[in-house]
Order: sequence, then C-alpha cells, then structure tokens
Amino acid sequence: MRKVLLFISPILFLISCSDGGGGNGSTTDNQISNRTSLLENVTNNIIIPSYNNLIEDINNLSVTATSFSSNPTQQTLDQVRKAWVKTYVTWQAVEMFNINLAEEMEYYKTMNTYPCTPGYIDNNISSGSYDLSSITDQSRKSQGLPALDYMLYGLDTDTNAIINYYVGVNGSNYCNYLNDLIQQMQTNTNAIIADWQNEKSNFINSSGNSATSSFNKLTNDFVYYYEKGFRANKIGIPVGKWNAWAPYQAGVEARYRKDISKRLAQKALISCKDFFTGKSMLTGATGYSYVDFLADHEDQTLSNDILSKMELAKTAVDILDNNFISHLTGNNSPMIDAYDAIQQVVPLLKVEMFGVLQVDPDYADSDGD
Amino acid sequence: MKLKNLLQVVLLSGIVVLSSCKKDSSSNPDPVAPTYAFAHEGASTVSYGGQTARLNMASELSSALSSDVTEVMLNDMFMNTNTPFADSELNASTKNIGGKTANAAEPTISASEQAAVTAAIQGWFSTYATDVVPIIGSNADVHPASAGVAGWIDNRELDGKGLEYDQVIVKTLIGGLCLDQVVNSYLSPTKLNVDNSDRSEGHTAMEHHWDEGFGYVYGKFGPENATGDLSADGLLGKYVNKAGFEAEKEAIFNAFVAGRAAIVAMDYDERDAQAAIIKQNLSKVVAQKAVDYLEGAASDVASLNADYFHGLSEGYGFIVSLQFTNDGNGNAYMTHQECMDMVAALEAGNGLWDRTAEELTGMAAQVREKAGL
Repeated sequence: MRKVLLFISPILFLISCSDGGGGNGSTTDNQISNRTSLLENVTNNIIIPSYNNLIEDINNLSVTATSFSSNPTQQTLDQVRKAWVKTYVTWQAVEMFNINLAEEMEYYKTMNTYPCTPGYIDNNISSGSYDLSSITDQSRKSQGLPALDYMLYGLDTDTNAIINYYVGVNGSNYCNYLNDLIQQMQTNTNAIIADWQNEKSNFINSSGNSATSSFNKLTNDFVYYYEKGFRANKIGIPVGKWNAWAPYQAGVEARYRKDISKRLAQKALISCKDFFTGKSMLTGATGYSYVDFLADHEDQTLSNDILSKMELAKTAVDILDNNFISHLTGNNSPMIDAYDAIQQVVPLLKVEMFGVLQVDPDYADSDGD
Repeated sequence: MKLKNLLQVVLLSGIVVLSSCKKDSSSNPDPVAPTYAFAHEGASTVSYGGQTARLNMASELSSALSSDVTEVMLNDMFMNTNTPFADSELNASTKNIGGKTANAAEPTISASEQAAVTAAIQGWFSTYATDVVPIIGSNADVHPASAGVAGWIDNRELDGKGLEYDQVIVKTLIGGLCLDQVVNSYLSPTKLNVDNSDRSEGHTAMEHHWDEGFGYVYGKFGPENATGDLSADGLLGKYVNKAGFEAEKEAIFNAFVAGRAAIVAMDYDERDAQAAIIKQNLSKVVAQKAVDYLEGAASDVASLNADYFHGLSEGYGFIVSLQFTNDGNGNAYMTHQECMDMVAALEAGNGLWDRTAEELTGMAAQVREKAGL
C-alpha cells in the first residue's frame, strides 16, 4: 500500500501549473534549440558581418578624410562625402544591435544622435579641446555620422565656402575635428567588434527565456529599433506625429546632405526585414529566423502578416521624395501615409509576436505621458 | 478499507494540488476596492498628473473660445507654447493637448485622417478668430446673428453658419482627446502589454498606463479621487456624470477599479475584460450624446433659438468624436469619412441656419444604427 502511495503522489505533484506569463515560459528542449539556432544564425550571418562591413567603410572614410585634410579640394571633399554616405547606409544594418558593450557604452548614441547641435561642434572646433569619449548629451550631439553631415554639408550652403573652412586660419582645427570624429567612430566600432569576438559564444549559448537572456534582449532590441529608431526617428518625429503635425526639419536624418534620407530609411527597413527572415549578409540565403521560430510555435499566419505589412511599408517609403524636407515644406501627406504603413507592423511585433515568443517588452514607451 | 482510504487521500491530494494552480478569484475573492486607490509598500502607485494638466488646459482653451483672443493664442494653448495659460503651473508643464489629440497608439483612423482632424481644429481656431472675435464683447441688440452673419442670439456667440465654437471644439476634444486616449491608446493592447514588475518608479508601466486612461475621465479630481465625482469636469467626465447615464457611470468606474486591481493581481484576462467594459460604455455615452443633440435640434429647429444653435454645435463636436469610439474590439462606430461627411452636411449652405428637422432626424437615425442605440 505504501508503495502505491509513493508511486502516485510524485505523479500528482508533477502536474505543473502552466504559468503562461512571459519570460517564465517552459524552456523545453525544442525551444532552447530553436533559440540557439536563431542566435547562431543572426550572430554569425548578420551581426558580425554587418560590423565588419561597417568598420571597413569607416576605415575607408578615414583614408579619404586624411587625403582631404592634406589637400582640401572639391575632388577630395567629394571622396569624403561619398565614403560618408556609404558608411551611413551600412550603419543602418547595425543600429538595432544594442547588446553587451554596445549597450553599456550607448554605442548607437555615439554614432547616430540626430539632430546634432552645430553650436557644440563649433565650440569644440574653436576651443580645440573636447573629449569625444565623454558620455554627456553634449558629447553625443557633437559626434558621429550626423556631426559629419554638418562638417561636410552643413558649414555653409556653398561647397567652396565649406572647403575654405578647412583651409583658412582655423583650417587645422577643422581638419583635426573631422579626423577625430572618424577616429572616435573607429575606436568605438573596433571595441564593439572585439567585444563580439569575446562574447560570441556566451551570447549564442544564452538560450534561456529570461529578461537577461540573449534571445529576449535581441528581440526587444529589434522591436525597439523598428518602433523608435526607424518609425519615430526617421519619419514620425520629422512629420510632427506627436506635435500636431508641425514639421520638424531639423529632425530629418542627414538633414544637411538632404537627399539621402529616403535611402537611409529604405536601408533601415530592409535591414529589419532581413533580420526577421534571418537573411545572411554573406550569402543572401536565409537561415533559422523568427519566421521559423514563429512557425515552430504553430503560428504560421503571424510572420506572413508581418512580412506583408512590411512590404506595404516599403511601398509607402519608396514613393517618398529622396529629400524628406521637401515633404515637410510642401506636401506632407505621403510622409504621413508612410508613417501609417510603418506603424501597422508595430502591434504585430509588440503585442502578437512578443506574445507568441513569450518575451516581455523591456523598454517603456516614451511618448510623453 | 485501508486501500479505499488511501485512494481517497491520494485523490484529495491531487485535487488540492490541481486547484492550487488556478488563479482562482471566485473561491478566495479579494474584495474589490470601492475607491481607485492602490499602493505598494504603503505608497500610492496611482499617478495621472499629465492627464489632469491637459484637462485643465482644455478648460482654459474652452474659456478662450468665447473671449477676445487671436488665432495665435488659441494655437499656443493647443500646443502649450509661449506661456499661454493663466495658470502658471500649466505653462510650466511639459504636456500639451494638441500632441495627444487624434493621436492614439492603436488608432481607429489612419494617420492622414488623424492629421485631418488636427487640421480641422486648427481651422476652427482660425474661423473663430476671424469671424467671431469681432463681435465678442457685443450683444444681440447690436450684433444679432443671422444666416451668413456672425453675431449673438441671447448669450451665444455664433459665426455666420450658426456655429458656437467653444462647443464645437470642446465636444470634439471629448472624442479626439479624452475618449481616444482612453479606449484607443492607454487601454489598447499595445499600451497594456508592457512591463508589470519594474517598480523603480513606484508604479509599473502597465499600472501607469491604466491610470493615464483613468485620468482622462476622472483627472480633474487629483489622486484622491475616491468617489469618481465628476461634477467639476468639462469634458468626457462631465457627460458620464449626466442624468441618464447612471448605469454607465457606475459600470465605468467599477471597471476602472477592477481592471486596475486585476493588473496588481497580474490577471490579464480580467484586465482585458474590464477594459472592454470601459471602452463600450464610454463610447456609448459619446454616441448617445450625438443622437440626443441631433434629435434635440430637430425639435428646436423651427424656432432657430439659442438652444438650437448651442445644442447642435455640441452635436457637431460629438459627431466628429464618433470616429474615436471603440466597440471593445478596436472598431469605431463610424469611420472618419462618415463623421466628416455628416458635419459637412451640417455646414452646407448657411450651416445650422439651413437645416431641417428631417435632415437632423435622419442623421440621428444613422448614428443610432451605427452605434446600436
């Protein structure tokens, strides 16, 4: 009799209470291996190659800047400008990965805080003393790709006048600052690349489903970037979505260069899509991705829904003018429509996808209480 | 004997194990708090100061819309720029009305339709400043209103179409600001599916979003809003407080309390059930008022008296508000286009001067049908 009791009670106590709450979801072997596959694919085929592309472009940018500094002409300036555009486009694939060292040092803020503040930049140049490794707001608003936009296009409306800044009495201050900005980007990016090499296997092996595990952080980073870095920063804020549609020209990405804003937005969107579908930057083939993960959780329709809405967003962005400022000073309807189309994906990610993956959002809304 | 007892023990222990797993609110109920008061470790976690600020801003804007002001001043009040308010605390606030009007997280209308509503409001500021301000300070003897001519009927200041702009705009804000922010933003899945454990600010993000929804209805009473008394509000709360809505008033307040308690208990199904009750009841109040004002105007139209123009101007705003209703499933009773077509019909020709009882009754019937009233 006692043996019967011993048999039965453990069985009864194994009846677990399924919690259903995100983050505490059961970590079955299948889900663990799915997360590992995804992390492996994304890390090796997307994140690391993207950073490698980026440092290559920054290094090239550095070379062009050195040439320009030693001989500021229209031709050498054009080379710097070209290299900067290439870097900015490549950057779009990297901005969402706010992980480990990048998160600690707020790397994306050092690279792409816009609008930059011309006054801070001018002060740095004239004083000649600045610390680009400082974590202050002032520091972030006077460095990175937006600061370079100002240095290459914003000093004056006339290109010859811009070149003269690098030649005149304070010419060496301007040249130094230009090179220092790029050098800071090199330093920061190299540090991130080294960090990825060190942390790669820890990252991939962190296959749990808690708030601090890789999968959760990565998923949150992706959704946050889509909502904030892409939707809000590139389109919503400039078109005045949260300011009764009052246009905010200063808030446009690459506002001094003006005509690459659409290109940057297009690249950002395609980077989001490729991340979602696990598309390799090296081969173009798709590896284990969120699409697969969602399908393995028996939700076939959600990823189709997300992808088709992303396609509609792409269409809406594609018909915009290269120069967003023309919409802000003229017909803003296409930009409002683009915002809308981009927005349609957000609840699918934030509510539906988070729900199926049992991931909790780890960031708060900051749309002004 | 022994085996039978053993079996009973085994079965009982199984039942105990199983039943302890359910989030069982029925067999062990926490009494639902009679007031909207929630705390963690002794400190209140309820917070909706931003909403109170906005309701107060809307009050000042409302007064401005029957006063001698410029279009610039009205826009300043809308966006809280250039210290426009008499209340210096409002001027010091980082909040504004305009940024939260027709701007929900899960909108029932498209972004371009949202922009159209904002543009309409800004257009009314302009029309008021241009056409009505010149007769402010005058009276019905000197400046009587007539078809096509701005002026007074009793104490109502009207434009040439018979529109009383403080009513048009404030009733539009009832839908476009208060209702929209509650039912399509703060109580939407996007805003509720957020963190509910981080208490570094006292309240969790989820608790705070729910409170912000609460604040758009009850925000004029400060954090101690114990009874849900709404008599000092001028917007959505005012109407929930009116005669004829006693059932809705109780349902809405109880649902806010129960939903907030469900959040503390981490019972999200319950939270969502209460959210649906709030959405349906608040939306019903707005739709019913649109109907009431239209039907009221239909009976007054022959007299073209002050009540007619005043009531129908209110109806105008409530009609615009219908696009922000939420049936509990994210659908508004009427589309943006349907609402704007209806108010365009109100404005046809000389506007309210030209309307017939038939037209107004027809509009009311349309709203009834769409809203299930």
